[in-house]
Order: sequence, then structure tokens, then C-alpha cells
Amino acid sequence: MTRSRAPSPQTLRLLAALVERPLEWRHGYDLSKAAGLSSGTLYPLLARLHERGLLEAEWRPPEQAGRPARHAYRLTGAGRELARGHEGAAGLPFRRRREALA
Amino acid sequence: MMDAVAAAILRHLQARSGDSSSWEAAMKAEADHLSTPIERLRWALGALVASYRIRPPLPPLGFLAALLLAMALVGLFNWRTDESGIVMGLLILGSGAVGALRPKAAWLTGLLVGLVVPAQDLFTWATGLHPIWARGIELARRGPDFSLLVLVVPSMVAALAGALVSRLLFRRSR
Repeated sequence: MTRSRAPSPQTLRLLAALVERPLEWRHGYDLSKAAGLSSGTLYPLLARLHERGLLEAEWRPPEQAGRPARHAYRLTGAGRELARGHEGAAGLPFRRRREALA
Repeated sequence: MMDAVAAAILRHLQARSGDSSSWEAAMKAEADHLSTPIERLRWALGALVASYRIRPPLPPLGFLAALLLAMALVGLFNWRTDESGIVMGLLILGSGAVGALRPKAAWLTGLLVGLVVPAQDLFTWATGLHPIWARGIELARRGPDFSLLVLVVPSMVAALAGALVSRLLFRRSR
């Protein structure tokens, strides 16, 4: 039996950051800035979302030559659904987005 | 200086991962794209914490070894000395430490470590072999002492307390 727990505020912030540009591959640093999370919080969340099939992750070639490849992330269909399902309960990024759209 | 510290942390991460597709490798690669030394240092420190949150320090075999060691220590001291304070201290320390190392299995740790002393008493009763400290002493013949099962309680409490401390320090993100 698997337990389903409500996502933490940090997870909601990350989902909000990811769902802002849902089809785009995003890098860790970019997500860290967008969600306001340190790398120490961000990566365990990414790992957990990936484990649960809510996030795709893959190595992508660097934009600048001579730099190493980067790991990039984007929500799966299930992840996008989860993010949208929690939109009402989410924090600042969702509110900011709504304000921007208004 | 900051870059040297960040580089040392990232080297440690690489050594810890041993796999180029791991989350550690992802965090390390990302650090190479940051522009300032302070950003790299902050990123590396966070990555170090993240690494231990993603992969707890103790794999199942390590847990089994730690659990057996704690049980063996409690059993050994209970066999060699009649100082119940030492045995109780070891029981609490052992359960607490192993509970902290593997919070998910804290209940199992508490139960098994707490059962060592009652199991030894049962062994003594069944075989007639007495602990080292009791040899040469005329002990009254008696049945197994089931009241020793109460030791499961402090053992369980210690293991759960260890698990709680561990979860607070290295909580898995939800």
C-alpha cells in the first residue's frame, strides 16, 4: 500500500515553477531561482518527483561549446495534472502568474 | 579560496556517486555553469546536503550489520557483567543509533535489540548454561523471566527517538 501525502510547500513552489513553462526543458539553477529553493532542497524534490513518474529528466547538450552537458527537467503529463490540481493551494509563484496574466 | 572549497565538495560528490548519470553528477555539472565563486560554493554546499538526502548513508546490508552489532554488544555485555546499568545504557545507545541510521526500520530495531536480554534468559533456562558473571554462584532454579520483555519498551523508545532526530536532520523531501 502506498501512502499519498499532501505535497510540501517547497514541492508546490517547484511544481509552480515547472508548470509556468510546462513543455520546456529546465535546468537546476534556473529552477532553483524560479522556485526560490537552494540546491540542497531542490534536488531531493526533483529526485522524488522523478521517482514518482511526475518528472522527466535527461542529459542535454550544453548551449555553449566547451561546457559540460547539463541535466534538464520537465513535468510529465501526470506531473502537469498534479501541478494544476494544486494550483489553488500553491504559493507565491502561482499568484504572481495570475497577477501577470491579469 | 571559495572555488577551491567548492571544487573539493564537488570532487567528494563525484567520488560518492561513482555513476556519471547520478543526481550527484547532475548537481556537479550544473555547478560548472555558474558564473561566480560564491554561487558555485553555495551550490556545492547545497548539493552535498542534497546528496545525503537523496541517498541515505546506510544501505540495507549496512543496516543489517549495524543492527547485528548492536544486538551482539548488548548480548555480550549482558553475558559478561551483572551491571544492569551498562546493559541498559548499551541497549538505549544501540537502539537509538541504529534507529537513526535507518528510521524506516526503527520499530524492528527497537524490537530486536530489546529482545536480546529476554532471549538470553530463555537460553539460560533452556540449556542450563549460565552467563559468565553467574558461574560459581548458586542460582535458584526458576522458569524463564518474562518480565524482561519490558526491555522492549525502552529499546523501542530509543530507536524511535533516534529515527525522529535523523528525520529532522536529514528529512526526505515530500
